[in-house]
Amino acid sequence: MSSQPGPASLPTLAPIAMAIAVFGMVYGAAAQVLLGTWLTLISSVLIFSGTVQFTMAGLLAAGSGPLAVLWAVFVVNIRNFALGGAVRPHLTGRRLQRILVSWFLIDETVGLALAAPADTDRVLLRSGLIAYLAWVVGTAVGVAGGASVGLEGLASAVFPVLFIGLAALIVRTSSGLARAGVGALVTLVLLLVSPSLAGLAPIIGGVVAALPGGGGE
Amino acid sequence: MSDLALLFTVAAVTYLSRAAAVVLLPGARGYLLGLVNRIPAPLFVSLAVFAFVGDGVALPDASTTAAAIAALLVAPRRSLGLTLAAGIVGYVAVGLIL
Repeated sequence: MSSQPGPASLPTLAPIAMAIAVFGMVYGAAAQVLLGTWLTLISSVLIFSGTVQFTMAGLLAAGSGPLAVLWAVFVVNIRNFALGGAVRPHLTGRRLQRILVSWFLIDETVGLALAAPADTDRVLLRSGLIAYLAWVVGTAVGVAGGASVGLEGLASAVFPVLFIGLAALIVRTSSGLARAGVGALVTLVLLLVSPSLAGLAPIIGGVVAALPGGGGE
Repeated sequence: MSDLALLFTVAAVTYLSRAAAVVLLPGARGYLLGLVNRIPAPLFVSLAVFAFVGDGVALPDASTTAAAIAALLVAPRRSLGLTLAAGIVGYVAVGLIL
C-alpha cells in the first residue's frame, strides 16, 4: 500500500499549479510588451498552452508573419496527438465529456492522468481546471508587473524537474525506463545536431523510443 | 491578419490538436495502440531534455543543472511533490553557494 498522495490530490496539484503560475507570470510580463495588456490576457484564456504561447510571442518579437506563427504552432502541437492517443483508451466519459476534457489536455495533466488509469477522467478534469486557473492568474500577475527577474530562472529550472517527475510517475518497468533513456538520448542528439528541430525533437524522441525494440527488449 | 484574429486561429489550432485524438479520430487499436501507450514516458523525458537544454545553443546554468540532478536522484521514489521539492532545493542551494 502506498501512502503517497494521489494524482488529483491537493499536495500533488499545488506545486504543479505554482510552477504553471510562475511560468504564466513570465509569459505575461514578456508578452505584454508585444501584445498589450488585454490581448496577452485573452491569449492565455483562449490558448492555455505555455509552449504555444511562448513560441508565438518569440516569433512575433522576431518579426515573423502570421503564417510562420501558425506553422510553428502546428508543429509544437503535434505532440498533442500522441498525448491524446495515449489518454483516450482510459477515458470512460461520453463524447461531450471528451470534448470538454480535451480542453485540459496539456503535458502536465496527461502525465497525472496516466498515473491514475482507473480515474483518468476525474484527474484530467480536476488537474486541468487547476492548471488553467494557475495559468490565467499567473499571466494576469505577470501583466500587472508581478514577475521579477529571478522568476525566469526559476521557471526555466522547474520545467525539466516537472517533466522528470511526470515521467517517473508513468515508468513502471525496466523496459519503460530503457525507452525513456532512448527518448532522452535521441532528443538530445537532435537538439544538438539540428537546433531548428526544437519543437519536433521531443515528439521524435518519444516516438522513436516507443517503436518495437526501442526499449532494448 | 489582426493580432486578435491570430490569437483565435492559434487557439483553434491548439484545441483541435487536443481534441483530434480524444474526440475526432477513431481510437488506436492493435499495433498503433501499443505504440501510443509506450510514447508518454519517453515523451516526458524528452520534454525534460528539451526544457533543460533548450535549442542547444547555450548550456543551462549551474542552478538549473543542480535542480535537474536533484530531481533525478529522487525520481525513483515516484512522488511528483518530492521530485519538485528536491529540484527547487537543488536550484536554491546552488544559487546560494555561487
